[in-house]
Amino acid sequence: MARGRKHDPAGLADDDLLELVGSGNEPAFGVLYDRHATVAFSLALRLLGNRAAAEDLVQEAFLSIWRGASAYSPERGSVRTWVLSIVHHRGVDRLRSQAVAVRRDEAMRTEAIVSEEYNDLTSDEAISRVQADVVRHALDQLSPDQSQVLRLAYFGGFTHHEIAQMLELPLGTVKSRLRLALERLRQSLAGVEGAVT
Amino acid sequence: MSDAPQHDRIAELVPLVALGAATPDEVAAVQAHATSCAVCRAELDSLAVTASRIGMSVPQVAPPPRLKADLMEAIRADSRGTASPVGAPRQTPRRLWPSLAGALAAAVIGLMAWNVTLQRDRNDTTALTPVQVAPNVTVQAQLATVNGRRVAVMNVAGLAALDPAQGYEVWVVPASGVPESRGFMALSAANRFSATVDVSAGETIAVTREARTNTTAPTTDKVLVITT
Repeated sequence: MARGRKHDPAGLADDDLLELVGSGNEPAFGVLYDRHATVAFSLALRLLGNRAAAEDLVQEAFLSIWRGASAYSPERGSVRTWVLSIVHHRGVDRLRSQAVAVRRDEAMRTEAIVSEEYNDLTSDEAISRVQADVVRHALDQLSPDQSQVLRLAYFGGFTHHEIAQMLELPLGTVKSRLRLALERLRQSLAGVEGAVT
Repeated sequence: MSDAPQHDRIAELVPLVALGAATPDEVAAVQAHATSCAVCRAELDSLAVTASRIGMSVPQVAPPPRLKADLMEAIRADSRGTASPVGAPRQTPRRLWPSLAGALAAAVIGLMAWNVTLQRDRNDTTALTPVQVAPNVTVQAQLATVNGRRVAVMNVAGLAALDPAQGYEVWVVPASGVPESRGFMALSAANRFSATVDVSAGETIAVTREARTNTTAPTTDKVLVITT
């Protein structure tokens, strides 16, 4: 538990940090941000395609965490996946409601950006990159058809109806591919629970 | 779970909801069912965690340091119950929600509005034929217009395998004639690559083999050219 260690939030587990954040502890919130800001910003950038929009999204997501830390339930996954789910929900919301042809130049360029930043890895960033490698490897195990629909759904913000239309596939085929892709991904990641939480 | 056909129908939708690929009606149906079905509720929670992990796969990019400074200032203002800091370089959030449930509700509301617009603006999908393609390379490409977005979907087979320092970079050539990078194609299976690219009318898509550095212009021959 966090009680008794409030003056050293950097040494606390995420769950304990959230407990402090829920009581209005700013240093704890700062540590929580430091741990998860990079993965949150990376996803936001990939979804929205430009830095300004990604910064707004991350700020909005973390402010909602500040205000609603008590909504987190450890039974539903790690703090990191919770943060990512908030960013993803809000990011898809923006993709869909903005109704603009979102240019993805910067998001698509992120691999090059990462190369430039490898010299200054923090431990949290290093963990994030290991997790990224693990999940990327799991995604690589999907069939091309499964991978395509999964990426369109998750990163493109498209519904299964839209994907079916875009790819000129029966709706049932798209639903089946999405279901099988997610199930296979779950199985792949189940074996690396320690690396990806 | 007393209604087996209903349960089976809803269970089929659970992965779609977890991925954010369901319609508002489907989301509502799953949420309503999950309140009384422990099996579907557990499955939804589990798959939602898996879906969130997809977000970890993207290349990691650190946010600018000033974002944290802005955010810390924003929460102090929030704690004081005052307005957001004046003069902050980035605007503060426009809408605030107390919980993930609120975030999901917002997503659903946005989705409903978006779908209404989508039904009005949707156009047909058309096949794209490459005007140039390297030997032994096969391409399946389509252009879809969805809600004003023109999205080219490309699946390419037969490209040579590359070492990790290289990739197949996608360029979009606008009317100015100056290629703009859209990043690297994703390797979806052995020697199969895919990419989705937002394009404007008349723009050309080209793919070249490049080092994974901050390349500003193509440096090798095109392996693929598609006009849109």
